[in-house]
Amino acid sequence: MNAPLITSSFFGFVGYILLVYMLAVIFSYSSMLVIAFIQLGKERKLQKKLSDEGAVDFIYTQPVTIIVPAYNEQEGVLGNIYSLLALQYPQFEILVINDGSIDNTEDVVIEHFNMKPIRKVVNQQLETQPIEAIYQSDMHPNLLLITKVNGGKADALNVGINVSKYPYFCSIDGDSILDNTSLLRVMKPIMESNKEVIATGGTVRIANGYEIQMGQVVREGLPSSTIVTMQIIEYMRAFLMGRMALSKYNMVLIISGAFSVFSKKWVLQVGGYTKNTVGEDMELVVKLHEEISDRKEDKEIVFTPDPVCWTEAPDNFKDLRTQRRRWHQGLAESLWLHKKMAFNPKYGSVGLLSIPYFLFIELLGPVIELAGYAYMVLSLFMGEAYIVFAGILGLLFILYGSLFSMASILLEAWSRNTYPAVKDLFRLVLLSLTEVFWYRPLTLIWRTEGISSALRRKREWGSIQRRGLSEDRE
Amino acid sequence: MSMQINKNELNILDASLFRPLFHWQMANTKRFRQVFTLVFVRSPESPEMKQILLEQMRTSDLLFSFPIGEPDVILMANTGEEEADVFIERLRRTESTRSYRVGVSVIEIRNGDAAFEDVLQIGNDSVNRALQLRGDTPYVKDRSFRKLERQCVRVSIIEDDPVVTMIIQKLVERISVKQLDLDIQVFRDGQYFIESNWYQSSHTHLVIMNDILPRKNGLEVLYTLRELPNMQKYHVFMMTKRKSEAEMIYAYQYGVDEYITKPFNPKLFESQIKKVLRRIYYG
Amino acid sequence: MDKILLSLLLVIVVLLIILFALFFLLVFYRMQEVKKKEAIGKYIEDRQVDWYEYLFGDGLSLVALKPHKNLELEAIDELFFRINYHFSSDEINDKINAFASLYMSDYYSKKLTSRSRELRINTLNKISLFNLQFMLDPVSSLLEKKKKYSKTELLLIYEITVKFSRTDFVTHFVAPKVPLGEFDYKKLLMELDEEQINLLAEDFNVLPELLQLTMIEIIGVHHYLDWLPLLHQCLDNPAQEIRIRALKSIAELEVVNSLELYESFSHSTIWEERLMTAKIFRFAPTEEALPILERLIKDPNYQVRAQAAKSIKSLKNGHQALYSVITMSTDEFAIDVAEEMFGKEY
Repeated sequence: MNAPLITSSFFGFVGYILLVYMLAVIFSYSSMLVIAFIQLGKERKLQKKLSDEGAVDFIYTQPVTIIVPAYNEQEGVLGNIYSLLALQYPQFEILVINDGSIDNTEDVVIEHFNMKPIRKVVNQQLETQPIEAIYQSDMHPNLLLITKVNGGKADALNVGINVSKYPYFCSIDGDSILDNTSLLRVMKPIMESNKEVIATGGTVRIANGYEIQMGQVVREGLPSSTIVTMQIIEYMRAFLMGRMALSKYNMVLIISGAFSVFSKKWVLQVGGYTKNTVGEDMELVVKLHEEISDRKEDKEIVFTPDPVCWTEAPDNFKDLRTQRRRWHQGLAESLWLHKKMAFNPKYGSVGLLSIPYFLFIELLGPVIELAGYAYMVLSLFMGEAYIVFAGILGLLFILYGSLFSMASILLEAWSRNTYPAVKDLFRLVLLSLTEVFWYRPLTLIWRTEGISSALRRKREWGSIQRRGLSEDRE
Repeated sequence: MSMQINKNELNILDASLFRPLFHWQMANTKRFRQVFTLVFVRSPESPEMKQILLEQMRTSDLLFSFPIGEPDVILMANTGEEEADVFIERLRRTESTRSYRVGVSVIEIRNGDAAFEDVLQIGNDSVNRALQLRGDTPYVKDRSFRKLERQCVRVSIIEDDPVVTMIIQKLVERISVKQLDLDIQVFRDGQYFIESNWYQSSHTHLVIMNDILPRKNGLEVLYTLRELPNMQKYHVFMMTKRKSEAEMIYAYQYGVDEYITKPFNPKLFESQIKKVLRRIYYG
Repeated sequence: MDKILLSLLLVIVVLLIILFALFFLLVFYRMQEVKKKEAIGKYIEDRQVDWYEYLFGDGLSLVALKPHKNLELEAIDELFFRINYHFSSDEINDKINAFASLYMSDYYSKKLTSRSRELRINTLNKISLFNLQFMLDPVSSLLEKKKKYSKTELLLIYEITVKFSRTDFVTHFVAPKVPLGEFDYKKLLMELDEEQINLLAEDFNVLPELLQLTMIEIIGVHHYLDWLPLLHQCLDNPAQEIRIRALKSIAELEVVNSLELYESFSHSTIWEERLMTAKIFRFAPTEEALPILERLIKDPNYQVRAQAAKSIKSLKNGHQALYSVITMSTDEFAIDVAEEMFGKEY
């Protein structure tokens, strides 16, 4: 008689924890939604093209080096380069880093842009894998191709930093493309803040469904694939809601590696990108935050919603799973590496709010939510009282998973108008309401897998890890 | 005497050969800007008259013998109307040896686009006009085809804003350079231009374009043109918003004729285009 | 428990209803926007030739273009932007001003005092872009209002004052209503003409340092040779940043007559000063420049080496000098940068 009572009350206890957790999450998301709404509302009617004008003028703008790490990108790299060549920006160089691809990336680029080998002295500020050759395009003298021994994305980016000659660099994935005003607009916060901003990231959008020719968007529209459309909703939510709000208080920890600009000086100070991590982009941002606090300087890292980078999203479950596992693994590793920042008042709002947010809501969220799903299933067998309880939990899930997505879509449509067709909007809204029933649980499982592989890797790479930590202590 | 017979046989041709030889001559005019002159002669039908003509012609001239009632035609290659005066003078000296009048019309042809039928018609008419004049060897000079051939220049405007394209097109249309016909075509971006076969012609081309274009940008279009075998026929006019000096120098090295920085004065633009067009005309 | 469940359900249903209502509202506005856009596009398409005649030809009178609807004003506004982006001449400017002051004065003034910050910024941007001189008074009167304007707005107001009024700007520069940064000063100073620069440079020593730095830079960018003595004076300034900037501007001016003044900076302990010296000597006579540049090409700093190599290349007989560096030097870095110079620059 007693035993079931204990189990059931324990069961109830867990339920309450889940409930409290859900309420906390809903609260933090709601507040971020409100902040994003206010932020976006402020510049909704601003005609951006009017102020682009002044910035195009040569003297105001800082020259930028664009670094494109490319590993087996023979399909996408040409479109990427074409879109970069069409950028409206007074002075920039494009460095395509071929990270020991085993496909035809190198040949495709060399042939297409008439690349000729050149001699170039490289200022070896960061240690990297050796460079094999540097080519310069005969057509576009500011386009360079660097081939190097394979060493991973972080290593390729570090090579780019070594070769670059300008004070800012922009990292862009080899398979994505930029709008022609994107670079100008992503650099704007840096210039307008009189260089108080040392890194900015733009919005990443999913290009599937858009018709793209030679790096230019020719026709817009939603993709037919449901799984890709689901990701579009996810991106909207993540970029507009999450990052907008965090950016307002200089608390951004992730600016997408697919499209972001950094001050070279600062990146060199923190030793460039960290090799051997999965999420080198997040890792760099956290390192920069740490450095800013350590030096007690008043620098900022911001997200700006305006400049857009288009990227191809995985359109099958297998690739999507790999991607999500990697992302989550990267998140886990970065947080682990910088665990001393968590709850440390020395690191200000980043230490007190940002890192805890990423730890409890972003990183551990999937585990707890999965537990919530499991709980609901179990409670069906636990008697009537729990069914009501499970119902409450379920409704919260719906509120959290689907309604927030829908709100993000509306916010996006209201402020940016990416998908102008009413039909597309309607499809997005309807699809967002189904999220909680199939897509969300799937990503939760994949992300949890990411955590476990991060834990496993930790053990494998013990020695490397220790060296990294000792450096931290110095 | 044997020389004379020889010359007769070579230089007198049947009327049916006039058309092909005229066209062949015309092709030379068009390609090498060679001038030639046709002399129409109307006289009573007499074998003696043909002999007289043959004696006064140069060895390089050709006489086409037409049936009765139609004037004969002498084709003088590489000859202008002033040089044909010599022939008329010599023909005049034969007045004492003949009892009939000879009407002459001299037509210098410079225009490579003149049509065969038009030339024949005007030749007939003018020789009749000559016969109404006084004297035993009346002659007229018709200058309908003396006007230089009008050269056609193909102008391509590559720009993505339709309003701007319209304005540029109108500005270019406003420019008139003597003897140049401008054939204007607009393109939205570099790729459309390259994909069209518009630029692959033997015309002289003037390409007016933005340096930053969606899809193939200005430098790449330039590069494509420079790879063509007859690249000296392409004149490139680049409009730019960015002002990176290095890039401009580079473009000049690649053979941009003029660079203009946006926003620009339309009058300046006109005069720069004019300059390029004059350079095209005078070589 | 049941009550909570029910009320939660209610909340969600209500939220859903609200969201859907918003959705339909959005769609409704979207459709209106699309219609408006189409109308603007149609106006532009229909009337663009008339506008061409008015602005570029001399055929059309102003009255023929008289707008009848608000929508037409917006279309004209759009047309101004596109034309101004590509073309500019006093004639076009005068004609735009003539038209706008006659028919669009209200349109712009109303937006200038709008409650929406975005609309005000848009309008200020347009006044500056389209050179709407007749709007100077309404714009400067904004500064007298009690209302607090954002930095973006103030900057634009200053910019317009600088552009359209010869002398009023100085006070704003020296005592701006919001602290201005380097980028802001650059933006403002770019608009000054030579006369205005002179006005400001007279009081050079009392200006805020940031403004001084920017002025030095602008002198170089605009090639104001008259102010070379001022730059020379700055070379003795204790502030390192000012010296570096002055050297940089001297390099931009491409002057070569007081080389002895700059030579000592090639021994400076600050690498930026050595870098700028290397840059200055690129136009100097070879016999004077070469010894200095050949020393700087072996400099410990990479950027100084690279600039020295670049400068040697642009000297008279520079290629030869570079070859001799490659063949004679024992410094590997020097040889490397010299060899790189034979590639294509960008």
